[in-house]
Amino acid sequence: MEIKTKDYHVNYDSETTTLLCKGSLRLSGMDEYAPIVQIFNQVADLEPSELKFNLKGLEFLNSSGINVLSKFVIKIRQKKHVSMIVQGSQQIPWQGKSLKNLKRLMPTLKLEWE
Amino acid sequence: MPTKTPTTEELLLENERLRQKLGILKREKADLEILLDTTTEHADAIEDELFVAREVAEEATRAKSEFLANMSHEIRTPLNGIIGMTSLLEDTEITREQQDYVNTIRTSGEVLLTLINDILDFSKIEAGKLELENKPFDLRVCVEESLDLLASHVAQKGLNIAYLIAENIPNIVVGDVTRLRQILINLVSNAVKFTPQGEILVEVTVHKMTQGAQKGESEHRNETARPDESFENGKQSFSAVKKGNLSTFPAEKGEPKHVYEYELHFSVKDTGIGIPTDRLNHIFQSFSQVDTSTTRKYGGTGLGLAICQRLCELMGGRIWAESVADKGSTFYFNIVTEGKPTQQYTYLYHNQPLLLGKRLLILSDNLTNRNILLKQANIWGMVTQTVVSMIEVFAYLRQGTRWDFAILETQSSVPEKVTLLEKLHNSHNPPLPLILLAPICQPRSDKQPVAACLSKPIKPAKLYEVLTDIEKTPTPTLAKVAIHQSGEDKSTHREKRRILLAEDNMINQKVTKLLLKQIGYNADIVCNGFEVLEALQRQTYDVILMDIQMPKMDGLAATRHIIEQWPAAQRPWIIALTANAMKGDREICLAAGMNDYMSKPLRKEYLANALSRAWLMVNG
Repeated sequence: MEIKTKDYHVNYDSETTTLLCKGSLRLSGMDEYAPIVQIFNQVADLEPSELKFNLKGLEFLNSSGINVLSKFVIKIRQKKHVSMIVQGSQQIPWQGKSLKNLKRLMPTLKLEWE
Repeated sequence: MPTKTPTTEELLLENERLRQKLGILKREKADLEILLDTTTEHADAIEDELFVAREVAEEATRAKSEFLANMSHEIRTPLNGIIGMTSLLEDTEITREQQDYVNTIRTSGEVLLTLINDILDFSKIEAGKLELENKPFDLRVCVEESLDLLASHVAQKGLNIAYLIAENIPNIVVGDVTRLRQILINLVSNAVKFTPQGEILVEVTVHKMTQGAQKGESEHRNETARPDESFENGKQSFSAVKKGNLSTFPAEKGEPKHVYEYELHFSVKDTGIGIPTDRLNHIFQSFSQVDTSTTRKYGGTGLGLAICQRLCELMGGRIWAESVADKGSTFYFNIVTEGKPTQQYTYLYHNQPLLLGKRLLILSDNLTNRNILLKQANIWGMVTQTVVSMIEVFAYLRQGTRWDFAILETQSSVPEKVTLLEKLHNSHNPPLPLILLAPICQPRSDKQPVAACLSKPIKPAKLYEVLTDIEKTPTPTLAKVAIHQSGEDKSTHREKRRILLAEDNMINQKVTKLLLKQIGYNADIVCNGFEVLEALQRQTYDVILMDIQMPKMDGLAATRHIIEQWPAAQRPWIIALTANAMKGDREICLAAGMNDYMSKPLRKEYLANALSRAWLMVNG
């Protein structure tokens, strides 16, 4: 489960149960995000007991992108046996403001800052 | 059909189902609200980031511009020392070998200066920051000044240089005189560089496109010639003009009121090494030259033509070249401009009563110069005779031919064969006025039998001035007819001129003082704006050469104080003398109240010209 372009990298490591998003996600609308959503859905269906969502290298994310991330968090919340850890970076200004809202969607979600 | 009444149990189940559905909907509503908040706050965060990024980028651009300006200033300051001092050293008594070393230093300094200017220009063009001025200027003066700047290089290589300006050219056009001059200088200096022998010919023709506007009510034409007192390259800068519209032309009494749009065509033709056909398309690309061996042999960055191309495009035209290897090249460019026909140079295109029927001998072995002189003299109604050697002259003399003037083209304004000149001069009674046509006119001794000297390229207006001056003078002698250089200051006056040099850099002080000394002036020196004001309290000065960046009080502040404290009639003529050469610096200096502007490195000729302009204004 991996997509790698010159702008971004999305990858799921089943051994460490870590979903990685890196680079700059500025795709236009939900249609262009569909391949990424597909990976997210596959990960959700695997229902790992602990899912790490590594966003530390995600420099830029547009509005459609935050929508995709939020819906993924809702999906994980619905999996009662999956706990989620979102890893972010304080060095990236948008993460400090936007990631805290993911906790509102899933109160059990743990936020880890680099 | 009768409906079945639900049982209490069914109702309770339905109620429970709806309650659960309501819970889900509430949860989904809450999620949607959070999603909306998340998306909105995320958009805000991204906007903030973009805003900060824009500020950072703008700050970086400001810092870059400041860096470029500072770099330009810092590099020009020591270059002023190098070029100024080598120019002074060249005029001292040194051996031939030392002269060669000094030449190399001077050329290297000038190459470095050109490089800096090209790189600064190119970076401005690439950044889309190059803006053109839109002011009226005298096209003929622009062409002449451009060629004059290269006269010494042309003379050093023993080349001939000439120009032809079509009769129907609008004398005054609106545009950026500095940038047009830059294109011409670039093309002519390339021509000089790549021409080992022969000549360079610049031609200007015009195509009138449309009538732009009509000024005022009357179309009264004034047939009297007037000096160019209102224009950018004349005695005064025309500062009241507006940018970008037809009101750039001053509405003056007695001038034709029509403004037209013109396409001006320029060509610079040389007899040089030429460019292979397959390289012609590449020469306008940045950092591109004909080939690497060209770079090795002739130097340069390959930016000059790319800059010219962009400047032409900005002026609404284009540039191209035609060439034959080993035969020569012609560079063409055109620009679109507004222009106004004036009566200023009508005397160049009609019979002149003072010269009508006068017999003129033209001695020149250069066909172009002979033709230019012949055509011009014939227009004025003169009777001409052209020869290519002194032997022919004396053959005509023996046949009893007599002339009213003789123009003799020589390799130097101080010719070696003075005896022949004396013989020709004294062959007439009264003596025949001899006019030399030399690569560059130098001061001559009174012993030479020469009435005047004309520097190449031939300037018809100057030729007219010389001929009519001689004609008006009953017995022309050298003492009565000086070298024709506008605004020239007599040596006796020079000593009396009071010049104050405000400059904090000691090397620049030394260079400027020595350059002034070479052209016959003395100057008092102060180091900052405060000292300028103190010096003005002690005594009056005719001219202040004012550096801009000085400690304690800079040149702009000092100028503003002078404008406030001294009435216009008692104020000295202030010339900005600065290493700031970025666009807008000149305007800043003039806006502060300065009268003229010179960028460093200083050149003796520019300094002399600036002072000549000052004396014209100071003397009224």
